[in-house]
Formats: sequence, structure tokens, C-alpha cells
Amino acid sequence: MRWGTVGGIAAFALLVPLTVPASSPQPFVPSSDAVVLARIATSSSGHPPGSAASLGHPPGSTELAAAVEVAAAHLETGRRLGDLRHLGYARAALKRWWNLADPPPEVRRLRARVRAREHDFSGAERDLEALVEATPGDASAWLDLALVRRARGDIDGARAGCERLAERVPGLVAETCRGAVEALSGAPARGVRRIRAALRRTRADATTVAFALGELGDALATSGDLEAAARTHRSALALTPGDDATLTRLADAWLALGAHGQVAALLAPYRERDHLLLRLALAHRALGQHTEAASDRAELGQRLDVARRIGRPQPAVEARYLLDLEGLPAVALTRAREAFGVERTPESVALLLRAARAAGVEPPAEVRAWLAATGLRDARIEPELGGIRQ
Amino acid sequence: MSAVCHRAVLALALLLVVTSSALAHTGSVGYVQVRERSATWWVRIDLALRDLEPVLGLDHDGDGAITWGELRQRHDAIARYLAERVTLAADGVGCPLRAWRHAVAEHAGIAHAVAEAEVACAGRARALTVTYRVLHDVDADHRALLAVTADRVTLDAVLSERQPEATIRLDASPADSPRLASFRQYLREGVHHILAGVDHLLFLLTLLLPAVLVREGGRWSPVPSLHRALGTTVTVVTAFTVAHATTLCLAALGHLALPAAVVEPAIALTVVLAALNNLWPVVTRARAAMGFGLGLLHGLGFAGALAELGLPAGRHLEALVGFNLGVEAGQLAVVALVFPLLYALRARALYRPLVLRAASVVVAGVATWWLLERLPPGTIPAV
Repeated sequence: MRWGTVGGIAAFALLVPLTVPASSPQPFVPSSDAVVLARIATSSSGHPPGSAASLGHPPGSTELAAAVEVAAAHLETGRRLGDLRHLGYARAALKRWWNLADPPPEVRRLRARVRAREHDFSGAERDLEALVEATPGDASAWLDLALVRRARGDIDGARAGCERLAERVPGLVAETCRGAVEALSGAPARGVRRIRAALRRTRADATTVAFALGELGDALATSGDLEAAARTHRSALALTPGDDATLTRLADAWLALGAHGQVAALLAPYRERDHLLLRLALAHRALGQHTEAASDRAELGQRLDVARRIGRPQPAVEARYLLDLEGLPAVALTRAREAFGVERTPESVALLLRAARAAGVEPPAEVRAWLAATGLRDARIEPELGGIRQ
Repeated sequence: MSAVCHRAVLALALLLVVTSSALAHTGSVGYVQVRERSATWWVRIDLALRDLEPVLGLDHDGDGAITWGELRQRHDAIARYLAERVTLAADGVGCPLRAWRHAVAEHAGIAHAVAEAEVACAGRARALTVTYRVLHDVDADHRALLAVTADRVTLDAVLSERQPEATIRLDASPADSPRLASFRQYLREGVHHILAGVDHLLFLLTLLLPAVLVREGGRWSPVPSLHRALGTTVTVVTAFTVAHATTLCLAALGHLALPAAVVEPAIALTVVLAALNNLWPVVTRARAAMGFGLGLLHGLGFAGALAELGLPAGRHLEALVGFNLGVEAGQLAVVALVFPLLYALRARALYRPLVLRAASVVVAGVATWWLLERLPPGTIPAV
């Protein structure tokens, strides 16, 4: 029996040194001064957008208005670039007020947004409820609240938020808010009609139209019309080029349609964003570009490992990475449940159901309960549900 | 509020829209390594160029591209910046950082500036404290992964604005080492998994039932000596162990992947095959080879269990070795209990009909049930 142990140790003693990834990459000195090491997004001022220098205000400013301006600009830049760093910049700018139980309303609003973007939805909801309680006419807070409740899977709460918004500021944003909630309550066609009608009726700035188009595209995907969804997201991208959420939605629609070449071309410049690198890897693999796919997969694996180590895991990206790139459905299912526990969307449900099927287990009870409560019908999840509905 | 005001407020509100991709980015992470090198210390700090840009302005010409030439011009500034914000203290006495050297490294495809320095500490210390306040004034979410390697102890920690400091006791006994703790934890998990994993044990026992017999002229007869019975047992168990250790390592390190929907039914099938082979012997001499071949699949099953636990960052080796040895220790304990019993009973008249055949029928039945249960829904047409 000792031989068995010795044999086993010998087998992996030989294998392990060949396979354990190096703990830190080898430093090198580039061959010439002209070697480009990194590309950064720049604003017209020549500084990175949203950076302290580009805004002309020192971070951590004691002047409330200036701090709010800096933080808001960072939130916007971070949203557009999908770069989490800007949340840290915003938090640093608001440091003086951040931990106050009753901060000034504009700080509370931005704190709610930072918290929501960090997926601390309950913290965000608390802040937003305090805002609407203090100022029931605060339309912006009602919209934020509707979106946060929707992300938490509280569709009734989201609907109530959209109604309060519509009472105060009727128009494209409110109609989009309502249409998106309809799409999540089993009536995607009605949601699509509502948002389209509002788009026809209203003239609005590019950001607002892109917002409505993004929600319209999601409702179309829920209704099963992926081609129309992709066209819609493409129109939104034309209005807000490089917008992170729009890139993600368009890539997902194209992946579902099998337009892998288009996904690879679309996402090539954005491989530093983990969630887009995931989609790029899926496209490269489907295209048979195995060298690129292997390098995407290795990089993504390392980044997800680091994210978990620093206590900022990305369960939704991890679940899809483990399921589709690593072929580990059991652990993918654990991550998908974690992701669904944080944010409830048709995408998170679809991923969870796929992982459960691949792992050979029944869909978790919490998903069935949520689907029954919301009445959500999504073309992407119906095939996964099998006989559950009956 | 006027309509114009409302619209402006709503435009701002759109900042929040789409939360789903917000956390899909690792954010800002630095890497700090501290190593003991014959009576002195050495530190290496890796920071993403994208992180340094807002504080040190690396893109001198503002063209959106940071070149090596531009980074080189800022090396002194980087050294000054880090010397002010990273401190190492031996027993509470600060150790200056000196003789900076600069390079570049890629972490998961992202370019980082690498700054290395010698740490001048006076004499041997009992504790080393690392304090890291890099970027926190502009990015409250910046974190660093710290790895300290001393002669006998190591420390891994995450440093953040809230927790900017970590201390390693240099006089700690090796038993305090987190590496050993990982090893022990995964050793326990390995033992637990094999003892709770009835399918693996049943497979092994099914292979061992005929190990105390010999097959001659189409008939089973008791093995004549303990030496020979032990030899067969050791060979079969070794083959099974080497096989599952191999696939476990390959799968755990991401070099081999099969969906659980395939692995789990396949493991049940190996038990069925082993039991059928006892009833209608096809493989009689090469049972070790059979144990090896089918054992490869069991390794993938162990890997699935290990994946559920996850490998601790930076300690893959300790966890893998621990888990493997745990599995083997559990296996060894079971074999040590069962083998004397089988050996003692081998010459009894009831051994062949009851222990070998009837037990194999039961095992084949149970494993067939597992097989059907583990097949993905829809694989078997409804009757």
C-alpha cells in the first residue's frame, strides 16, 4: 500500500511543477523607448476622462459642490468605460461625507449609485428610500430606486417606482422604465410597443435615447427577437460609441445569433474589460481561433482569481467562464446561484438554468419561486425550463 | 421643479442605468512581494500603468499611449511616490527603501510598472510590518495583494484603504505557516471526500474482492499465500491511485475538463463494469490495468469535489498534495480494514458464492441505479 502512496505522489510530483502557474510574471525591459506599453482613454483635455487633472479639482476636496461634480463625472466615465476604478475615485472624492448617517442629498444620491454599481443593492435602496422620503418629488431618485429594485428582482417595487416617476416627469424615461418592467412581468411584446411608441413621440438627447434603445433591445431579446435586439443595440452604440453596457448587450445578442466574427471584431479593442474578454474568448473559440481563445481564457482565469482574492468576485462572469470555457458545471452552478442571489435578470436566470442542466441537477427552488412570482417569460430561458411551468 | 430641471436630473440619473456590467471588472490591484534574502530584504511592487497615470501623469504627450520612454522618464517620480507610501518596519523601526530598479511586467494581459528596491533593515527582527498607502487618496477602492516570503514563514494578505498594514512574525514556528494550514485543511477534505464518496470506495472494494483468489482453468481458488494476496492488492490499489492522482492534478490545474454530466455517470459505469467482471471474468490478469484505466475517471470526480472547494490562491501545490494524500489516507484506512477480513474468509466455502458473486450482483445493481440516476434528464426516453 505504501507503494500506492509513493506512486501517487510520484505521478503528481512530476506533473505539478510543469503545470502550476507562475506566481508572478517575469519583469522585462522593453527593447526601445518607442514600445507602447498601454493605451488609455483620453478626453479632449489630453487627460484620462474623469481624472482629477481633467476636471481641475483636487480629489478629496473640502468643497461639497466640487466634490460632487468630480464624483459624478467619475461615475459617468466609469459607467461608459466599464471601469471599476472610477467608483474608487468617486468614493475618494466624497470621502469626507461618505460615512455620514445623514449625508447631504447629492452625496447620498451618488453614494447610492456607487453602492448599486458595486452590487450593494440593499445599501443603495436604503439611501434612495431616504431621498424620496425627504423629497417625494425627486424624480431622479424614483428612477434610481426603480432600477435598483428591478436589479434585486423586486418587480412590483420597480413598477411602483416607475409609476411615481411617470407622475412627476412623464416622457421617454418613464415610459421606458414602465416598458422594461412589463417585459420582465411576462408581457415583453407590450413592453416593446410602449418603448417604441415613446421613442416615436419624444425628442431627447443621445444618452436618453440610447438608454431607451438599450431597454428596448433587452425587451426584444426577452420576446425572442434576437435579430431586432441586435439591430437596436447597434443603433444605441452608434449614439454612444464605446459604451460598456451597450457593447455587452450587443455582443450577447450576436453570440446568441452565432455572429462570432462580428463579436471578435467588436470586442478586440476592449480586452482589458473582464466581462468583454469573456465574450471575446467565446467568439474566438467558436471561430476555431484556438490560440487566441486559449490566451483569452488564461488571462480571464487569472483576473477572476485575483478578483476573488481581493474580495471583489464577479460571480456572473465566473459562472459563464467556468461553464462555457472550463467545462466545470458544478462549480459554475455555485457561482451562478451566487450571481442570481445578487442580481436577478433574465440573463442571470438563463445562466443558472444552463449551469443546473449541465451539472445534471434540477433548477434551484429560488429560481422557480422567482419566476412564478414575477411571471417572467423569456425566450432564452423557456427551453431550459422544460416541464417546470406545468 | 421646472420641466427643464427635471430633464437634467433624469439625464444624471441615467448614470446608474445598467448595473450588471458594473462589477465585471477587476478594478485597481497592485502586487507587493517582500522576500528575505540572506540577512536583507527585497521588495517588488507592480502597479498598472492605468492606475499610475492619474497620479503621476505618465502619458507625457497626451496621445493616449504610454510608451517605455515616457515611463522611463517617470522612474524617479515612481520611486519617490512609492517610498513615501510603502513602508517596511522591522520590530517597529522603519527600513528605508533604496537602490530602485525599474522594469515592466504583464499581469493577465495588463501592463504594470515594476519597481524593485532593497530594504535596509538593521539586524534580524522578530516581526516585519508592511504598510501600503498607494493610490488610496485618489482611489478608495485600490487594493494590493501582498506576499511576504521569509526564511521559514510566509504571509499572504490583501491590503486596502481600511486595512493598509500587515505584520508577519518572523520567529513563528513553521506550524503557523499558512501553507501548512492549507495542506492540513485539504488533507482533511480529501479524507472526508473518499469516506463520503461511496462510489469510489465501492469500485475499489469490487476490485479487491477477487484479490484474495486466483483464477486458474476458468475457476476461482483461494490465493495460497499472504505474500501473493498482498502483492495483488498493492498492485491494484497503486494503479488506481496513480490514475486518479494524475487526472485529479490535470483537471484541478485546468488542463483537463470533462462535464460532470459525463464524469458522474461514467464513474457509476466503472463500478458496474468492475462488478460484472467479478461475475463473468473477462479481465483476470490485467486487473491493475483495469483499475488504472477506470481510475482515470475517478480522478475527474475527485477534481469536481476539489473544484467545489476551490484551490487557495498561491497555494495550489499544498492544496493538491494535501487533497490527494487525504484521499489516499482514507482509501488506505478502508483497505487496511477490509483486506484482513477478505484474506481470512477467502478459503471459506461461502466466500465465492456470497462474498464474490452475491456482493458483486448487489454492487452491479446499486451502481446501475446510480448510472440511471446520474444520466442527464432526457437521455433516457420516457417509457
